Amino acid sequence: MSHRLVPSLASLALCATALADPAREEKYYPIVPLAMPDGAVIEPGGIDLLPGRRLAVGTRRGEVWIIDGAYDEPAQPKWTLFASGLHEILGLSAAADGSLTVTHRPGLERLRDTDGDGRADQFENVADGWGIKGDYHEYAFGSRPDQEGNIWTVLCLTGSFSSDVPFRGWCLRIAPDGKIIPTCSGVRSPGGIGPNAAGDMFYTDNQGPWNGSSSLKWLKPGGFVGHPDGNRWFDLAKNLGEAPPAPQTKSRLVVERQRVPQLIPPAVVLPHGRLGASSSGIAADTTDGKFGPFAGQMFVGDQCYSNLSRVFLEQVNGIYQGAAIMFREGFKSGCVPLRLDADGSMFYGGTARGWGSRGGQDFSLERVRWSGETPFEIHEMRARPDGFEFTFTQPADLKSLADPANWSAAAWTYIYQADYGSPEVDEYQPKIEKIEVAADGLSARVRVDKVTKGHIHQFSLPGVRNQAGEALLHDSAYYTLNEIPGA
Amino acid sequence: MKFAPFAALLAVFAPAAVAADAPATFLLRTRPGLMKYDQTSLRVKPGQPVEITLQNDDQMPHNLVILNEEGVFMPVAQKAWELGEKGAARQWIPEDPRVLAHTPMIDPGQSGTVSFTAPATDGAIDFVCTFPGHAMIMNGRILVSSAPAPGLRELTCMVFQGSWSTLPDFLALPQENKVSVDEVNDNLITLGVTTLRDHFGLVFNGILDVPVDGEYGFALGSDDGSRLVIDDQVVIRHDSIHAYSEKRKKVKLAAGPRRVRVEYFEGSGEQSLTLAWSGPGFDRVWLSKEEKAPGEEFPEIVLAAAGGRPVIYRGFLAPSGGSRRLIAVGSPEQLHYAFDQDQLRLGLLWKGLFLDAGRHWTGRGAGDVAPLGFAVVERPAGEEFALLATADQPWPVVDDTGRARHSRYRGYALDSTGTPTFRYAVGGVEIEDAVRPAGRLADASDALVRTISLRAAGPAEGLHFRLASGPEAEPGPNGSWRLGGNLTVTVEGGAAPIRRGNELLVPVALANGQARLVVAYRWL
Repeated sequence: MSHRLVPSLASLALCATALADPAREEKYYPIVPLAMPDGAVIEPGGIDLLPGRRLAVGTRRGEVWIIDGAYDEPAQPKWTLFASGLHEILGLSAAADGSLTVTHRPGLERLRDTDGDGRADQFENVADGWGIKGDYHEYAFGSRPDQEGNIWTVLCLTGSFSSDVPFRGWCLRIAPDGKIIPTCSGVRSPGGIGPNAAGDMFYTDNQGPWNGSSSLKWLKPGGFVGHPDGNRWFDLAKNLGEAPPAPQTKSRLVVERQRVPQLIPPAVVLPHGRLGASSSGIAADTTDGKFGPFAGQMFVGDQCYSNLSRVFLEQVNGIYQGAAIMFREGFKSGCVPLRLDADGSMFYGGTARGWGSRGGQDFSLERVRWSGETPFEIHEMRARPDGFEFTFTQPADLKSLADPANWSAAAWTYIYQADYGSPEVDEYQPKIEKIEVAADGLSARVRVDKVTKGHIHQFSLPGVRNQAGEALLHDSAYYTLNEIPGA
Repeated sequence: MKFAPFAALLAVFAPAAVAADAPATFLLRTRPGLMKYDQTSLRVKPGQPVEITLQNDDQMPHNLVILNEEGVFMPVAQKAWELGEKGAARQWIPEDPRVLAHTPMIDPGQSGTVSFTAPATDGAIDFVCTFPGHAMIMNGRILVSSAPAPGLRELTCMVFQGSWSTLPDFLALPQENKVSVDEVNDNLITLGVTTLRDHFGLVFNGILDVPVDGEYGFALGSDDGSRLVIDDQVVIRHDSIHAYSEKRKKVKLAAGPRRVRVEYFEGSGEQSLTLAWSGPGFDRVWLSKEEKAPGEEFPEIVLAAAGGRPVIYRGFLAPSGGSRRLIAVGSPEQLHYAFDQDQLRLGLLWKGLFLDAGRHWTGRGAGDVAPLGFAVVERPAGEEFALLATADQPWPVVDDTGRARHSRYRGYALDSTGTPTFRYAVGGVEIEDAVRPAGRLADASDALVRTISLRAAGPAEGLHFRLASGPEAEPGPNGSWRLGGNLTVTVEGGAAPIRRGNELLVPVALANGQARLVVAYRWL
């Protein structure tokens, strides 16, 4: 039996924004600003944690600051300058031996304070083997070391458009001895890099050429993640074999995936204009419940909208995909670095310089913790052969969950093209044919008439309530359906 | 015929309404990498047809939306953002009665034009880019005014001849230096008042009617020196012999007639003189006939050594010899240098002020920063140490990515004063290289002294240090060498330098696996 036609996309858009409410979110995830020294300009680019509940922040002006008291309640941050003179730090990693490795524009550098005066005195070149043309857009983001001790870097294209010097548009792993291991091609304009809870590496890329919308992408070694301009450097990446064939423009990812076997589609698209406009920092929840009910999931920042989305990932046919849901708005500046301590303290570094951000401040450092109260949210969203399965953080009211009038669905994709970005195309509204609600109200299996491989599938549940009569804190989920299970 | 006399009456009693204004045309550019329009204040007359072409030199798409009110660009832009996923198809133009006219979204490298008629009454209207996230930075104002653009009046010019290297006291000059005194046509400052092109000076005097009390910006550009004086207060000093550049200053002025004097002199070579001002409600009105492009404006963020410790800066510098990894070190003694991580050499030397990071730390930070001081010495490109297998083996040149072929950069260490020692290696030879000022700026003997320690476990056959390359190196007194026109060097340690073409190579032999060179660079 088919159910009522879903509302128009325009009203879906309204629904999507109507309940994104920082005042409601504050109850579950309060944001605490961390004050900075008077007159200092501290634009965070990288954040890591130091022993003794101290924080290290690397900045766009090339400084490293150590902060005491950032964990205190109330926060009493005391800032000490550890190092300066570096060039746009966009990655920071503290090692057990007390050294700090920065990823900045020219390369990876290990900083040590060997005379104990609180200031770095050793600046050791770990790796500087990538090309730079001299363009401000040639950013280099770096992760913390993976299980093998390798730091993953992603290198923005020159101008964000072209790869004229070696390895722009690439992901390179840097081994502890400084050896460069070419890992993936196809990078365009990263905003952040970090592993998921399982230790696989991801980065965010921004809307632009060959990127219809900003997205979270899986860095599968040997993969080509979308933008072809860096492929001319495969001569320098003998470990990866042949360069992939060039994708054709004005196409679709599903089509080009058949022609380009190395092409890995974005794991989760953060739909442009809905969740944000410029994806950035990444943090996985390894807090085992100390940051609320989302253990194992990920958070992705947006530098334009100054917000965080939450991402649930799964693998289907060996490909990462999953759902993005708004998590927290109302930060004071645009997100770049994001760090979630296993103890449940999240640190959000904000900078608006160069691109403009919501929030009103040029830069910020903000702390988020879970208040202890569980919000009513879509918990997980999994793909099924004929629809999706949703779980919730709290039992839903069965009647409201089962009523198709409280659900709406939409699907669309993006043009995969050399032009800048893409509007939403190939749109349609999947018809909800059946909703099977679990007796405990914690899950619902939704069957629709048609799911489409390669499409974003949006579901909005504005009418669903929990047993206390509350609406979902965020009522829309956007699932990137790269693979249909069982298909 | 019925309407003709009526039209004639209109022409007599309302000439402004019937006479057609020539259209006001503007070319607006987006500034690359800055997400800004290059002009934020335009001026038109009421009812005037306006045509604005937007040339998008930035790397992302933008539009130009003209509103019919002032002070509303943010709410209108926010309405555009709420279009959400529909925005792109609608060129990010919201349904809003305040939108007067607009271009579509314009891709990088493209241009588009918007035409409209200015409102019929004096006032101001906004313009803005409504692409999400841009409005806070990309907006401007169009002043609609029936008043004439403010400029100088009663402008006269005294012409002098003479050879100076700084502005003379013109009024104290003897009679033989005076050439003429004239009124200036158009009341616009110009070098056209004289046919002299070298060795002359000008003093312009005029009245500037300041419309309201407020803060006004003046931009004085010249080659060679100039000075702007308002009501006997020197506002801008831009003296000495120099290529054309502009100096800007903001001053508070009271409404009413202000006496303006511009003094100028030209040595020889190029000559240029420009003056513009801006103030409440208007942007860059030219007071000179010659106009130069506004150029880029960044707040000054001058870096300097503090607390006796050098300051280090690694943003993109120019001139760079092709390097993209220069490490600039600013000393408290105001003798500065940049070590080159790409080419493993000493890259730049200069004195005076260190660097202004304003360009890099404002907006997206595009472009290169140049040494802020003077006496800039560019050292030759390429590695400074090499192991030459034979006496005539060519010195290595940088590879096709501009990097040293053989030398490997290890990093630097700061001593207790914060002075860096750079470490690198060539072959099996480990090198430590530290530069320290000897003397201070303005000492007769100011110099940078470079101490290079070398160590190797095994032999280092054919190890050479390249002292000079390029312009003729001439032997000078006391074993020094004069390089080009501006530097002398002395080197201790190593064997006597060998001339090879225009290279000066110092053979370095290790004793007990060690060697030391001390190289002093003195400005002439």
